[in-house]
Amino acid sequence: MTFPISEARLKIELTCQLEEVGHATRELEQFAERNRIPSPVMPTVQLALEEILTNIITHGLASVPDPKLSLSCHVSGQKLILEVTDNGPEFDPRKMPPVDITKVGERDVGGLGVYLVQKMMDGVDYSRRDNCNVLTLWKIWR
Amino acid sequence: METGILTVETKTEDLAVITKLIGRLDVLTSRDLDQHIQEILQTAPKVLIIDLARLDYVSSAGLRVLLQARKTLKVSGGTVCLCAANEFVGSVLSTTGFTGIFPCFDTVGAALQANADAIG
Repeated sequence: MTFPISEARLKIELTCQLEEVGHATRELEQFAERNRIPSPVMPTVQLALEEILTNIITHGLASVPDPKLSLSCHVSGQKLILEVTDNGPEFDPRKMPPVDITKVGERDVGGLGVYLVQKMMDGVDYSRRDNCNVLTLWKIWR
Repeated sequence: METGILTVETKTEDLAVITKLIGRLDVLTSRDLDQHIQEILQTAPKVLIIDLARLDYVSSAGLRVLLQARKTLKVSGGTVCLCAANEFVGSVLSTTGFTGIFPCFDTVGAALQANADAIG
């Protein structure tokens, strides 16, 4: 279900299925078009959203009996801000051990997705609110 | 192979297999690509060239498929090459160190030429 609040804000409630990742990234793309966000920005933002949602759906919410997951996004000046909220166990992706990409060809390296998010977005913030993880990501364009 | 937002076209030239990816390689389409590549790897090609010229998007799920292909082909002495990535896909490959472990070329022709000894 999609609840467009205004041209400059979008909120989507998501079910806990990987198919929802595609739904969310398409909604985000349409939101970006409506708000004239420069198209070169979008693959990076979609990548970040996919990586975060995939992690939450496959790990964070996998054993939660009544999973809740939502995305909201808005534009502030030349900044696109995404907020992903889930009711899984506390998890701050910023605290994941750093990935040693020099070892990427030698063994199975986990955490590549979160690593990409941290490298390619302009900011990542985390808070725990009302027993939910709230992850805020932003990308700035010039 | 076609899965809605990812189309995969594969052809063979001598001992090289050239796989062109068209569209988006994400958490869903990477499953189908993985299956397709596993079938290719059963023929143990000397060189698998992945043509990225028309790939618009890749995420870590897609990167894992490429890594697995490299690992599998290495056992039989083969090589996986990456070609013609666009700016976004190229930035994902360089950020994750893939450009350091995969031979990367601007064109499929350049990849074929560089591997001429192996596939000739």
